Order: sequence, then structure tokens, then C-alpha cells
Amino acid sequence: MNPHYRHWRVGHSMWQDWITGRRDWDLGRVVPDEVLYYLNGPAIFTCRIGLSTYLFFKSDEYDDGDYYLAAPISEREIAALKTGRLSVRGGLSQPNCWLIQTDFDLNVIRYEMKLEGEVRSLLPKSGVPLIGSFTTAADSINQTDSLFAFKFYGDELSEEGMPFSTFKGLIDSVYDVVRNALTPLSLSAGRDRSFMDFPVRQPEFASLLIAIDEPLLDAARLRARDRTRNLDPEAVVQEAQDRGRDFADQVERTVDLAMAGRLPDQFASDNFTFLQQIVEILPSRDSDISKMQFSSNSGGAQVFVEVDAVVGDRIRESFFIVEHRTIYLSGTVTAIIGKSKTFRLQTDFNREVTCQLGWNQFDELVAQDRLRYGVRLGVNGQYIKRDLRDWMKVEGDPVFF
Amino acid sequence: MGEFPDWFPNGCPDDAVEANATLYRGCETNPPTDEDFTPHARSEVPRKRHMARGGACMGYGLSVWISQGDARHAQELFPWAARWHIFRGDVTPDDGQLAATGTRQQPAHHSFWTYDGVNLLGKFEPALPPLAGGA
Repeated sequence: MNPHYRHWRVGHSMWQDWITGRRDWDLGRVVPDEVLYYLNGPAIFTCRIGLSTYLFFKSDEYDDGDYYLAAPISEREIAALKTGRLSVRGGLSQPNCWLIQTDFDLNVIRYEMKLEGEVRSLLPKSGVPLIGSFTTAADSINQTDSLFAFKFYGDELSEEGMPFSTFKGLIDSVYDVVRNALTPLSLSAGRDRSFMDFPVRQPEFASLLIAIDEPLLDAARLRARDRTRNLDPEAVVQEAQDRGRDFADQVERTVDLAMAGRLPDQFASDNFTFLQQIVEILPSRDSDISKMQFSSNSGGAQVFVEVDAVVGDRIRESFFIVEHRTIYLSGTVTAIIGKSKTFRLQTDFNREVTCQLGWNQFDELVAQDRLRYGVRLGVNGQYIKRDLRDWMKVEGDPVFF
Repeated sequence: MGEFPDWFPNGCPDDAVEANATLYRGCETNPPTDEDFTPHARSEVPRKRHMARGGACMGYGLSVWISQGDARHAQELFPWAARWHIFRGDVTPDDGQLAATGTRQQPAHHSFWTYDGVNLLGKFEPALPPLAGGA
């Protein structure tokens, strides 16, 4: 080895530990089919070997040759890689990965197949896309084509496992977020929300990836209940998809704002119920989750954001600051309680809030038949979170939609 | 207009242009050495000279980026590029010619062919340190 390079390697690359491997490669010189990144020669490229196409990644270079990782890759993954939706690490993350040493003409000197877990330290950094102008990309193909995907990172989350409580906590939180974000308002009454469910793909460890597919509606049960029998099933599903897109846009907007600093108070007040949903799943410097990737793919619209602990804490702090100030809630009236001059509001993110109006204000709105069951409205006021049902002292007049 | 060294292949480069531009170059040491601004075809390092062995024109140019973000991206992607010191320098039409030589996914990668007698070493200053911990 050139001594000039030696000091770079100390404690740095795992390649120096690779001393095994076969030297009987008989498939000829590696000839790139498509060079995806050129730097000091072809650094990332595809190559067809036998019946499969492989993604080659030059992980290191020394005087005795170049050191590549190569993993089989599908057309779908190549497309996602080339459009910046899948990270380079994601393109290489396959159950089996090859270590390959070549000379400078891409003649294979040595090769060996390893399990993904054995080469993780040689994979490129998480989230780095092929395209430099993109800030980040998903590390799994399931993040690029599922309706919603949540990927959590943390020291305790590994391929081998994680604490059961951490796993359950994340599953429960994501379940609540998904259900509340996607359930159409037309199914928000009673138990109607159970008519819709969301297929979840096989969770992936080594971090935790939870990917959700398009909602499934139980049309037979929808038709069987008086309250919902006149609903058009296609319209209900469409409503869920629209809500999903709105939710994803809201996540993206919130993270963009939080990257620049604390959320403006007005934004946090206006989006209080949305923030209330997501603070439960955001990473934090005080939790086991250090990073989260959220992605959404719906009707051709794609969102991908990465939230680290700093940004997560910033959003959480912004939420807690406005929690005790005047906030805005919107939702559907689910009960009028004359005795206490209050009404119940089911918010758009499925929290029940008892709203206290002024004495005369309540009587007037009821007498005018404006405040009634099923009406949609928005209110500003002082909010208190409670275990059973939240509470709000309404300030000013409700806005009826 | 300057002239390229007589050791360049005929017609090399054929589609580059003179430009006022800020370029970013990965160097192995800080401060950089002449080797860092020597085309692979004339390098003292065997692996670099070997890469230029085919005589292709790119071997006579210097790999550069035209944005700091793309230089950082390379550092984040490749452990060997993470070890580089990124230097930034302004070039003028008197210094040489520039052309895009990346792939469709890598449009910011360029090559710069230096005119005979021009020494770029003194024009470049540190822009980005090696990436801590490697890529």
C-alpha cells in the first residue's frame, strides 16, 4: 500500500478487515451498462451479470485496486434511484451484497458474498441521494411507493431487534396518526371509522419502517348502516386520499418551517390539532428516536421529509408554547348539551373537545338553529387537554362552514 | 485565447468553453500540492495515470464541481471523497476551458482543461474540510 494513503485508512475503512474472498472470477471484466455517477472513473453504475442487473458502488480506492459493493437491483429500484426518490444506500440494501475488488480496468481480483448486516458499515451514508441537488432520499423502496411510510432511526433500533416497548409505542403512535389523518369526515361519526382499514406492509427492522398502502373500505358494512348507506364508496375512498395528501403537504410545510427555526406562533395556533397528532412520533434528543423519515405517494404527488431530533424538538417546543394560548380548532359538532350550555366538537384529527360558549351566545346560536348536530365549524379559544375529552373556552363567535 | 499544452491529444477538448466561473476541486492534502492540480494523464500516482491510460480527453482535464453543494454531496456519498479537502477558486477565460462531463443524474460535475503555463494552485483556497468520520 502507498504510505501516502495509509494514514487515511487507520480506523476509517472496514475494507482493511476484508481478508477473505474467492479469486476464481470467470465472468470476465465488469463492463458498466449505465454509469450513474462518474468521479475518478465510474463510481456508481449498473451492470448486467447473468440474469440479474447489479448496482455497483465504489466504496473505496487504494493503490492495489478499487473496492466495490454490488447488489442486485430491480428496474423499479433503478428508476427510483435515478429520479432521486431512493438513496444510494437504499439501492444497495438487499439481503445479499457482494464485496468486489477490481484492478483499475475493472477486472475482478477478489469477490465474496455477504449478508446485508455484515456490510452495513461499508454502505454509503443513510439518505444520500444519487442526485446532488436533492437534500435527502428514502433508504427503502417501500418508502417510495407506499401511501404513507414512517421510518424511525435510533440507537436501540437494529436489524436484530428493539425493545418491545419501543416497538409497541411506535406502532401505536403511527396507527393513531394514520387513522386520524386518513379517516374521511364522512366516517367520523360513531364507529363508522372502522369501515376503513389500511394495509400495512411487512415492517422492516434495522431502524423501523412502517409502510401503509391505499385504504380499503368495507362497502358492505357501509351500506348496512343507516347513517352511511347513501355514501358513495368511491367518494369516501377519494376523501381519504385527499386527506392523506393534505396531511403530507402539512407535514412538509411544517418541517420546512421548522428547519429555519421555531414555528411562528400563528402557524402553530392555526395548525394545533395537526401538530398534536405528529408530536407523538417526532424524534427528540430525549427519546430513543433520533431521526424519522416520512414519505407519501398519492395520485402522483410525492412528499419526502427527514426530521432529526433538533427539528423534532423545535416543532414540539412550538406546539407546547401555543398549547396554553388561544388556538384554533375545526371539526364537526357531535352533541349539544343544553344543561351546561356546551357542545362537543370532534376535531378533524379525531379528538373530542367540549366547547364552552358564552351563556347568551349558546342560546342564540341554538335558537337560530345554527349550532346543531352535524354542523362543521371552527372556533378559537383557550384549550385544555384532558384524558377523556378535551375542553375549550371559546373566544368570539364560531365560524360556520 | 490561451493554448493547451502540446502534450494534449489532438482536438482535446472539443466542446469546452472559456468562462468566468467558481470551481470546486477535491484535493488530497491541505495545503494542496501541484499533484492535486495535475491531470490524471500526467500524474505521479500510478492509479491516476492508469485511469488516463486510454488517452481519453477527460484524463487531461481536472474534475471539478461548479457548486459547493455538489462537492459536499460527493463527500457524503463516497468514503474516499469524504477524505478530500475541497478547495474553491475563481477561473477566467485566460485560465482554460470548462465543460459539463457528468451524467444525467450528476449534471454539476465538470472538467476544466488548463491552458499551457497556467498554474491553478495559487488561485484556490479552502472551502470545505474533510467530512468528519467519513461518508
